[in-house]
Amino acid sequence: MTTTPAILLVEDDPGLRVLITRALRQDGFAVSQAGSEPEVWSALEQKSIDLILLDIMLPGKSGIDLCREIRARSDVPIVFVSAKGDEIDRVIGLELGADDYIPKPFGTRELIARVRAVLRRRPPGSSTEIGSNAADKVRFAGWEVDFRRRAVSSPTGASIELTGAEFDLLASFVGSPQRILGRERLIELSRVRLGDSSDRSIDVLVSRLRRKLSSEGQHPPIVTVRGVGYMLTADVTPG
Amino acid sequence: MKLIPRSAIGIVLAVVAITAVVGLTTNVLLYESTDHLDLREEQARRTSEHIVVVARMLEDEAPERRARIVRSTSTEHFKVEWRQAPIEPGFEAEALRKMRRQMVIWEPSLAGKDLRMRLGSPDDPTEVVGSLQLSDGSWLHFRAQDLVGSWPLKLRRIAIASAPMLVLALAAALALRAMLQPLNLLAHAVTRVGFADSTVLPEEGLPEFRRLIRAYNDMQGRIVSMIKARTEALAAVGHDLRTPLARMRLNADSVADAETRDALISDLNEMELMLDSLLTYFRGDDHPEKPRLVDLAVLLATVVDDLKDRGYDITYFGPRHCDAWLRPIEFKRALSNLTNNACQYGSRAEVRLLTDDRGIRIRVEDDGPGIPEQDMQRVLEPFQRLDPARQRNTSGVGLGIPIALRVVTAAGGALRLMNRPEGGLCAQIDLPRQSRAILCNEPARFCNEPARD
Repeated sequence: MTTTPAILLVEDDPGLRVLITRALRQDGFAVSQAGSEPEVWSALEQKSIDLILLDIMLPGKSGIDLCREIRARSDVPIVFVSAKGDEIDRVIGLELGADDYIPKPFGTRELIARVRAVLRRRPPGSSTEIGSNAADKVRFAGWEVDFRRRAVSSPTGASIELTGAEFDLLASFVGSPQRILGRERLIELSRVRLGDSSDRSIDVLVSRLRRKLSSEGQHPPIVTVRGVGYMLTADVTPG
Repeated sequence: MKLIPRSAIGIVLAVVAITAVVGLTTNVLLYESTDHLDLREEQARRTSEHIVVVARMLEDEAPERRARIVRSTSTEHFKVEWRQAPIEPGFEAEALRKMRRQMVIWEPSLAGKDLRMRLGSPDDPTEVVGSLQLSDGSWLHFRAQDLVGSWPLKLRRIAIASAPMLVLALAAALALRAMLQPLNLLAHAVTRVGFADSTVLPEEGLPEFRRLIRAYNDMQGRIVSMIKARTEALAAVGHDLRTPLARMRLNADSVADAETRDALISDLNEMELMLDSLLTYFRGDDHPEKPRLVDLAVLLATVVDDLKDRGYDITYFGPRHCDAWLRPIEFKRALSNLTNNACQYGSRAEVRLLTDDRGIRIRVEDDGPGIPEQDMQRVLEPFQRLDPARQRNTSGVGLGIPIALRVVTAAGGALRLMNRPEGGLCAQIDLPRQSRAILCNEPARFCNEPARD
């Protein structure tokens, strides 16, 4: 990407606003700030924004309502910031069309990683097309992947709990079905996730994902190609 | 109607007054019917025979020898004298008239004679005094003990006197019971104060109780709103603390010294966990999450994997898939709390998922010190932390197990803690077979091998 991604930070706490802005700027982002709802609208009118970082607790209006209203007008990627305990906010936020969620408190590395991951999935300038063209849901071998809600359900309809890293890995496989993905490529794709606090290897991650996607009497949909990498064998259809 | 008392004092006074009046009336009536003495027929016959024999003996003897006869024919219970005059008239009871009739029937020779009888004294109704005129105009006096029954009389008297008392006591008991019923309801309600289902009682019954119930309702309202206010304040503080925590977390990243930075971040994480469990606990049951079909085996695997990544020795044994209707976020928290405990207190932990026709069983086992039996109940309650030995290396505020208990109970299941015979603790969750079928994809060949990465 040649241009500097522009990020709108919506956060009512001045201290936190300064800290997050500093962290993002140090990593090469252009950051505008908004402390309240009117400032959000004027910022969106003034310049083109590539990603909104939205605190769910705002004075006057909840970030959930704001998210819904932004979604009604624009397809700009939204990353939610919310307290860790309120996972229900995450579910609601993702259902409303937010692209990701960062639990508060978070570290600089995690913040940057999440923002980069979302921008990679939805590159600046292509947000409208991506949002309308890319399938929100895909299916393979009976499994259903919902990119909006970052949720996976099994052939029996049960919800399958995946970690963020596992979901990103699955998204990589689903994005390139029946193609061998080299370990290096997968590591690169999942680096942002693997970066957070753990040193689990890509093989462990693939093994866990494979176990979660196993079905009795059937071959696992992800196979190991010895010495090269991994491959999703199933057909992926828009869902 | 004004005659029916409406207050507790009124009712008690009425009961006492009615008891007293009815009791006294019964006693008076009883005394007036002293006539109804119990006559001992057998003794009456003996007495009549005795009198007739003595009378004949006296009539056959000269007057100067009669004194000896009366002396020799007197017994301890039957005294005989010979006089020139009859006995003084006295209280003649109906029983005595009846007795005389019986004596005459038994000894017809007494028929034409002047036989007078009276009770010995009003104080001693068992003694009968009588006199019989002899053919020469003199009188045979006799004094018979125990001629009329003493015990049956007293018993009957007691029975007569107490019967109304017993009825009255019963009536009084019923009346008081009905009157005190609101107190019972109140006592039940009071024992429930502070639990989720404390109730507002209807203001019923006597004025005193209505006042008491109203006072209780008001007090309960105050307690509930006080608890609510405190909880809300605590939750608000907890929530507000997150912003400075988030600032500190970001600031911590700019600390140059890696050791200091890691220590700061670890402390901040611990504070966040504590806040998190506090807020979860206080949020209570108004959780908006809806139950849905969840792969419980995958959920467990995720929880176990997370602990593995944090360096703990924990293994999952069980099927790869097991669907159940649950609130996934809540349930994951419950499982995390239990597995976290197991990892903190033990050096290695095992999580087992078992299914059969009755339901799903999850066992979280550790090889730690376990919990002393006397504390088993206590750890289920919030903010209870055990002795210092078990506290070491632990974080949190004592809400992990209470939260897990609440989540499991809300899911219709049961959480039990038990010390394992081989040492360590086992936290066991039993989920009943749900209305919508539990679908375990690999129930037949239950996988006992640890899932390997």
